Formats: sequence, C-alpha cells, structure tokens
Amino acid sequence: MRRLRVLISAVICAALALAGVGRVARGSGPSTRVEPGSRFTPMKVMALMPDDKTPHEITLAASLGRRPVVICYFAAGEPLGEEGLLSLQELAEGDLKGKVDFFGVVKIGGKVSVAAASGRQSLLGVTLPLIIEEGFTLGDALGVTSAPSISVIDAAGVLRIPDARSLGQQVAPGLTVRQAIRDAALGRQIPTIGKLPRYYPANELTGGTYPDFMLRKLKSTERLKLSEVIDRNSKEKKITVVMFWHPNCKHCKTAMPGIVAGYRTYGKWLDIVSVTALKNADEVRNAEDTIRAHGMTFPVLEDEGRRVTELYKVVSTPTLFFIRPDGKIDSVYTTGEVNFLPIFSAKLRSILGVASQLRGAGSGS
Amino acid sequence: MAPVLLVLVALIAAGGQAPEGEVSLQIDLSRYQVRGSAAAPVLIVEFSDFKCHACEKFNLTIMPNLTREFIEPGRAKVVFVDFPLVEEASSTNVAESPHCAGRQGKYWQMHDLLWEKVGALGDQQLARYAAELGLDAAAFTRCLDGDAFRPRIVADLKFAYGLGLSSRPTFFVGRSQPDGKYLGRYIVGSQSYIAFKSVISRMGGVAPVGPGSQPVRPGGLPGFAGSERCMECHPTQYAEWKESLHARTVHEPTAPERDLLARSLICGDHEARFVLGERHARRFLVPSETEPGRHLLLPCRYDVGPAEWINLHQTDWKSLVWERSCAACHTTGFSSDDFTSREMGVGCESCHGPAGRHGAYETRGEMIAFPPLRASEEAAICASCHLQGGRSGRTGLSFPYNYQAGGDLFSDYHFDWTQLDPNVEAAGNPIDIHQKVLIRSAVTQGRQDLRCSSCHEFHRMGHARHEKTARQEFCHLCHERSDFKVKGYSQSCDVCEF
Repeated sequence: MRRLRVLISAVICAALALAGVGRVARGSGPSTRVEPGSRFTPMKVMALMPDDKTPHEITLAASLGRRPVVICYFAAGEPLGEEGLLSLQELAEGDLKGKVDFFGVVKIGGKVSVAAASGRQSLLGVTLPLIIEEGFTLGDALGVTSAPSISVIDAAGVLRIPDARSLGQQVAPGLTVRQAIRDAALGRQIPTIGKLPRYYPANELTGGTYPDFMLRKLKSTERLKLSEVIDRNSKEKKITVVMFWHPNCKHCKTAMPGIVAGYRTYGKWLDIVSVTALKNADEVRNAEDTIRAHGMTFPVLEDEGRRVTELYKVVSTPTLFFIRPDGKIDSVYTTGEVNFLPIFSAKLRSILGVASQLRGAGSGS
Repeated sequence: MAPVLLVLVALIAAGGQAPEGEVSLQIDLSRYQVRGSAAAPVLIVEFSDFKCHACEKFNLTIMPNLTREFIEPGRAKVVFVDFPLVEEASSTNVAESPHCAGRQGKYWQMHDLLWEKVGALGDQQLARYAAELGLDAAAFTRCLDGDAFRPRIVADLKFAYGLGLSSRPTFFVGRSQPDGKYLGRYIVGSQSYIAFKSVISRMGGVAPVGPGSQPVRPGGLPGFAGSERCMECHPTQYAEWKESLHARTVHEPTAPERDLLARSLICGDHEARFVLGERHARRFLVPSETEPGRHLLLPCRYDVGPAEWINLHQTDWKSLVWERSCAACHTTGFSSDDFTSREMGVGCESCHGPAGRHGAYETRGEMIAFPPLRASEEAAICASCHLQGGRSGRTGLSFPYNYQAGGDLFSDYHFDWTQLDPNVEAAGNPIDIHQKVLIRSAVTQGRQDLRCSSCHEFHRMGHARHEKTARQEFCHLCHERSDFKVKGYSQSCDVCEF
C-alpha cells in the first residue's frame, strides 16, 4: 500500500513538473521531516555521476558532519529548477570548490525516468552528483514543498536552511542563501531558518532588459511582438505593462477592475500587454468571459506551452511587469490584492515624471 | 514534384534520433547565410521548418532572446538548415522564400517575417511579404516558380537525415575544431531558454576577456569594461578623472603611504594592498587569508587633518570583509550577488553606466550623459553612494542591490526621508544633511534648480563651484535671506558659517 502511495506521489510530481508548475507533492506516509536546527540523518541514496547512465549507491554520511552540504531538489525539464541547480553548480565550481558538497536531487516518476534524468544531466552539463529520488524520502526529510528547493546543512550536519528557492533569496536580514553557503564554508555560524516567506523569482528580472516574445492573440490569427510595442513606446515615452493572468485566478479577478480602470485613465502614458497560459477549451471560454465581464480592451495573448511564462519566471498570477520606455524592467508586482489604479499613477510619476498631467487625467476618470 | 517527394519519403525512412553527448559535425558554412559575427566562437545550427508548430514557438519566444544575449554581442552565430515536413509539399516553397529573398540581399528579413506569419504562408501571401520587404516581387515570384532552390532544400534534408535527425526543431551547438569540423551537441525540440543558455555558454559562448580567447568571467556585473577602455576616445575626461578623488578612492599605496603605515603602532606590521581614501582620512586594505580575492580593513585609520592614528575594530577586524560592507561604493560594476567588482575605485561606468550600453562605440548608445539628465536622475546616481543610511529591500544590506547608473535606485534602496523632517532633530554634519536634503528635493519633490552638479565638478571632484557661487544667492534657494548672513566658507564641514 505504501508503495502504491509513493508511486501515486511520484506520478503527481512528474505531472506537475511536466506542466511546468514546479510544485512537488509531499509523500502521503508519516512525515520523516528533519526539523530545521536538527541534525540531518545520513542516508544512502542512488546518484548519477557525470557521464553515468546508471545510478550508483552513495552515502551522505561521507559529507554530513564533515563539510557543509547543499542539496537542490528540482524537477527535470522545469526551467526554474534547472536554473537553480545550474546556479548552485556555478558556486560549486568557483571558490567553494572542495569546501562544500553540493548535490542535485531529481524526482523520478511518470515520464521522468532515470534515462531521462541522465539525458537532462548531460544536456545541461550537470557535473554535481545527481541523486535519484524514486520515492519522496529525501524530499520529505528536507521539507520540500516546491521546486527548486535548496537546503543548506552546516558543517556540523545540522539542517539550517530548508526549502529555499534561489541563491539570491534573502533568508534573514542581510543574508542571502548564497552568503549563508559561503559563511558555512568559512565555518561561520549561520542562523536556523524555520519557514521562509513565499519567494517570487519574477523579481529577479527587475533592472534587466525585458525578455522579448511574439504570441498569438486569443482566438485570433493575429500576433503581437512585444519589442514592437516597446520600440513604439520608447519613442512616445510610454510605459509598457506586461501582465500575466489566468481566468481561474481569484486574485486576478480582484485586481482586474483597477487594472482596467488604470488602462482607461492613463492609456496615454501606458500600454498593457496581457499574457495567459490556457490549458483547454474550458479555460479559453473562461478567459473570454473574463475579458467581456471586465471590459478588457488591451491585447490578450495566449502563451501556449508556457514558454513566455517561464521566460518571465512567473509562478503566480497576477504578476505585472512595469517596463520603462528604455526597455528596462522597473518593477514587478506579484499580488492581486491591491488597487492598481493608484499604482499606475505612482509609476507614471516616478518613471515618466508626469505628475501635473496626471491630476487632470485622474479627475477626468 | 513527384520525384522530389519520392526522395523525401525514402529519406524519412532513414531518419532516427540525434546522437547524444558531444559529437563532431562537418558543415560547409559557405553554403549558408550566417547570422552574427563570423568570428563568434559558437555555432548554432537550427534544423527547422516554417510549418512546424514547435519551431514557430521557439523562433518567436526563445530565439529573440538568444539573439540578444549571444548572437548580437558576437558570442555565437547561427545558420538555418531547411528541414521541411514531407507531408507538406508546399513547405519546400515556403522554405525557398528566404533563399529567393536572399538573392536580393534580404534572406534573414524574409526568414524572420515567415515565423511571424506562420499560418498564412500561401504563394500569394509569400509574394505579398516580398513586396512588404521592398523586394522586386516579380523577380521573387519567378525565383519561386523556377524552383531554383529546390535542389538545395533537398540537399539540406539529406544532410539532416544523414545526421540521424528526425525531430523538428533540432539544434546543433558547437565550437570549431582545428580540423574544420565543429564539436558540440544536439538539442532536440524547443527547449527552455536556460537549457540553450547552458549549452551555448559551455561551448564557449561567453565574452572572452583578457589575453587569449579563454572564456573567463570577469568579476562584477556584466557589461562593464573598466575606465581604461574609455581613455581611448575620451582622453581629456579620463585624465581629469584619473586625478579625482573618485578615481583615487581606492588606490595602490604610494611610497609615502607605505612609510606612513609602517609608523602605525597597531598596523605597522602589515603591508597594505590598497589604500582607501586620501583627502580626509586613509584606511588600509590587506588581502583576506581565509577568503581568496577578498580584503580586510586594518584596524586603524589615519586622519589627515590632525595627523593622528585612530584605532578601531581591534577585536573583530579579521571577520569584517570589505567586499561585503564597503566595496559597493568604492568600486565599479559591483555585484551584490557574489561581492565582486569590475574595477577598484569609482570609475567612469559608475556614473555613466556600463560600457556595454555604448553599442558599437560609434554613438552614445544608452550611456548616461549628464547635462540632459533631470535633477532627480542625476541625484539618484549620486545618491546610490552618498545617501547613506538606507537599506536594500532585496538584500537588507546598506547599499543598493546591483545598482547601475540610470536605474531606478529607489525601487530597491529604501531611505527613511522622515529623518530629514524639520521636526526631527537632524543628526550628522552639515554637509551630509545638505546632501540628503538636496537629494530628497530632487527625487521626491521634482526640484530642478539645485542639483549635485550645481556645486561639484565630477571629473575633477572639486568644490570650486561652492566658492565661485555668490553664496547668498546659492543659499537663499532654500533659506530665507533674513535667516543668516554668511561670514565665511569652509570646505571641510561647516559649508557656510552663519
């Protein structure tokens, strides 16, 4: 029975990974989670080394209690997880080489076979030992809730940081995961972190140039290319808002009146390009209903295959990117529980400096 | 048409899986239109079809970003191998279109346009697209009707099938070898951006720096080239800056400075690698013994005015890594991610932005030029270091996260403006308070008549303008004329003696 439960868990994980969701289902058996601040129990695991086709048994006892250990749980083929693993590898091959032991953990199940994991390891050039997790023993012990999940165990073998999402994630004031690993490598005490607040990787795009894309408009053959919108807005000194939303998302519905009002009121200074990843005909119908119900007149583009959602590192909707006329991402909003009308106004003031004109527009709305 | 199709069907039967791992590919690039610099170290070969849905998705979402990151900067080049689906006889007509446009010098323009028009690639539409691109439409249509490039499309198909490929799109990413072949690996399907990026980077698609072409990642944020690079075209400004306090905020010790340090009772046994500061005080940096590439500040400070040593951090100085606390404002191109920087000292790119924005160095590109800047934009650049007391929202550290000139400083760097409220008793010396009030008035109140450059010449870093300014005119911009009468002026800390 337990085997069946584990198998079901594995299939669910794989399905989620394939959908690009990045969530990892917890095992349904009794929790064997190691609490943060407790010693992590060494266990034997199967791992693929670079250029291996078949996994070999290794024991974490060779590392635990001797050196700091960093473990990155990820889903094969899911870009955020794979990027997390590669960023860890960059650290492992840099000045921390030999000072910290790094491991990747890939969940096996569904269409993700050992052979597929090995292929992924080869394609991505993964040189870290890749632990093959057919059940959820390690994931359960580390308290993995989503992928990527980065855990830091100090040199004494104590689990200090569980279930972080990114090396750049702040885990304590002034302390990122990356810095905590460095501190651990230097033998410094690092704090025990219980539960981390939700992390939004979309924020990592702030300050950079917008990723470009061209997508088809919903229920249309017409396509829209973002760079053409931004090039035009660059000349006209307008802001471009790229908004990711979904018709089944409650927060999107909460936020939409403010967004629609913002577009109507401040359309002279901003454009909205909205993107939605829909799975089936029902969701397409829901999207059309939402568009009608809220009077959304800005373009709605369909992100088939979620490639654009992945490029923008969007893990929740709504997520709004404010892009300056120069093409740089000014800021990212990952909540729907705000009124976007005043936020639009504030952004126009801070980015375009059009305070006095806005007063007229606001009163006219 | 029938013989062509028979060939295609025969070839399909020979199709298989792309080889795994690193393989060698022989390809005659002279047969193809190459996008990107011929000298680029990495070759990307795309085996694709304009009527394949996955190919379309790749070319409209992933490829534009690979072009921006790898092809335009000269890190990779790309060629396109026609791999049309056999079921669609008209695919070959579409595949011929870029080649026919190429006869008129617009191969890639037509190639890009076809991806944008997938779903509307009939013969009449192809002729219309040719006209849109300004081609001689009649000549274009004659080229298509004459099947001039059909043998070539078939040859490409044979090439792809001969390599064992069957999926569209398939990519080969590799680097050239001395024998003229390319060593690399195949990527099957429209994979994620990170998968392509990983393979291209591994093949050497990173900007080579330093001697030779060894791909080495420089320290600091990407796109920074160092002030020496600016000297070639801006020798006058470079010479002025080189003598400025900005340039010398971190410098190698001079002989008198080495002698000075040797006389310190506490720190005299150390040999400094760098000196921090010059005009008012000096600190001395030594390499960290436990963290290669990092530095520590010796536990003593030399104050120039009173000519005396002050001892500080006697017990914990070896744990205070300079790169984690001070370097962001004393170096150029500083990365908060790994605490590395491109250049010691405040270089040209600290205020003008990374030279990577210069484009081809023929125009200003997106470099920051000061006279056109609004006061708020100028103040933000200075505030990134001179508005002390704030915190990065991203890291919680006392300096902004990966700030670059022209960026939105205050989206990450949070400063409590209320501490400047007239009702709050302002702490700190008058210069600090004046700086902060000025920055606040420019940034939050949109003030334009007083800005940092009103009083400072950045390249020379002089205070001469303070003294040249008719001081009562200068001061009354903020103060009531009746409030004070200037008795004198001091550069050090009093600003104006009331």
